[in-house]
Amino acid sequence: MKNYIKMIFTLLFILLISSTLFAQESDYKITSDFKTNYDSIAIALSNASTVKQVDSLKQEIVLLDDEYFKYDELIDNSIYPSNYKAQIDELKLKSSTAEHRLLIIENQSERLAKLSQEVAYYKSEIAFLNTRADSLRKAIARSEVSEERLAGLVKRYRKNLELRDELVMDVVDSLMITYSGINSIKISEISNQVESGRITGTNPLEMLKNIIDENIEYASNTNKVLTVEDHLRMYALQHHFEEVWNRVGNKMITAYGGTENSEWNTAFTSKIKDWRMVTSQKMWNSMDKYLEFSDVELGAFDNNYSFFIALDGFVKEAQKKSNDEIISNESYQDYKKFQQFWSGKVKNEWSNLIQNTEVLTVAQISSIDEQLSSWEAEARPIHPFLLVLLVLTSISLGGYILVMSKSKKFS
Amino acid sequence: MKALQKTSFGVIMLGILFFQACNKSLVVKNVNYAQQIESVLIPDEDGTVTDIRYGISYSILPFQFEEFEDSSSVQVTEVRMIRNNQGYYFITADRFKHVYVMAPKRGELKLEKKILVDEEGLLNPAFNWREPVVQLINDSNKVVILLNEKGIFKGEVSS
Repeated sequence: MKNYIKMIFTLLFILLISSTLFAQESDYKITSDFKTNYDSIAIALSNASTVKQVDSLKQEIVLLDDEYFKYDELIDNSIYPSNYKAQIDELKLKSSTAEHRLLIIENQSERLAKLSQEVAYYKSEIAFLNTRADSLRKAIARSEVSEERLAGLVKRYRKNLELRDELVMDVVDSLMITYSGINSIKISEISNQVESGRITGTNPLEMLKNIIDENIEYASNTNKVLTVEDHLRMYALQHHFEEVWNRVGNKMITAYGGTENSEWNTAFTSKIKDWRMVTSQKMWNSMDKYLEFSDVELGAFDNNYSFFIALDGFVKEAQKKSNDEIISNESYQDYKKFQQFWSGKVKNEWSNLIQNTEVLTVAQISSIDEQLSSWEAEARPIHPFLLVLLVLTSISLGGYILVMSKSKKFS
Repeated sequence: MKALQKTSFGVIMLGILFFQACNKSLVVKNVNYAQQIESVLIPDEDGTVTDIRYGISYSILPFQFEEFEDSSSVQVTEVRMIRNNQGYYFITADRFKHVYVMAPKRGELKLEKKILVDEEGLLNPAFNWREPVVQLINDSNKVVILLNEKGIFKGEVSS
């Protein structure tokens, strides 16, 4: 019995010794394994594409720390001048940064999905309004209806176009909100997600291209019944679109253009230019016709600058003409016509559109205002009563001088 | 005459003292050269290994010749090296039968001790520093051998 116990103890001792021996590990291997695990977690954190993945990597960091904490001095020596604690802290920081970044991206994806839904809604609404506006335009052109009904149709046609422009403006503003705050890193992440198929749905670039195409078509086929205000609104829409595109266009092309970035860029540059030309030409033509109709004969203009020069020249010339006329009422009538256009339309009805589109700047409007005050002073004709009074005063003065000279002669 | 002799003696003694003071070099005792973690070095095509961290570079070919009697081409893939507290380098590699204890000299490493550790040749050897000895782990027979610059260490070491 005693021998058995002795044997068991001996075996246990041998097992203990051998396990100690087997447990001996190379310090270099421990540190190398730590470095390998560290690098693999760090790379996984950089490549993580979901918050869930980061959460699992956070767990791995805890396990890594549990496993290697007891070798901290060894690892400190191995990775000098860094140290174990700094390495673990760095991994924890990386995981927090990755989690934050991915939360933003996931939020971004939700916003993009929402935008896609909005785009789909806008698309169907715009298509409906386009069809309705088309049929109205044709009916008006054919003059198939009574005058009273025609006036109603024109009103509806204009209202439809207004609604349509408002919707397009909404799309543009949504894009602005979505993309203006995104930095280049996030844009490239969206691009990667689009390319890898993680973001699907309507490509916003396609949708915008269609919007431009439709607007070019509509601006080209505008009916005579449209007013200067309608054309100014279309011009303002194009102006706003171009402004927003200049701010977010590059980001959108980077995000959604895939491998055809330069093609998209060229297409948008060319289409926006065409749109600008059509709306600008139509707007200036309608302005010119309106002024002609209002008997305000300005010089030729086809852009913001030449429009101001024409206005300025007209007011200066009219002021000079008024200065030469003393009794005539004609120049004052010219002044009144211009004043009606200036105060009634430019400074009142079209005020917002004119300022938003920079058709006239505030300084230019003030300059014309000042000249108008002088023109009014020059052009205002003398009141008939004042004229009679003047004649009577002159006669009285003449009579008095005559009487005085005769009495001097006799004395 | 006697006064002259005394003066000359004093001058000579002062001279000797001055000369000795100038000649005496600065010595720092109890320097610990121990490397906490071994260096694993990969020879280049000429057989030269370089340890950037500890600043040493040498050819592995003389060791290879000692082991395999061949230095025509580099056969060693990985060199294991560690330095003990006395400043001796312990060098070995896979399939080596010995650990070479080398003393650093001016522009050279001089063999201090060639320790036979495995007649069959080491398999995946690794050094650990366990004050005051170097621990050699050998995968071929799962044996741990303790070494110092004199050879295999027989005493007790707390690991």
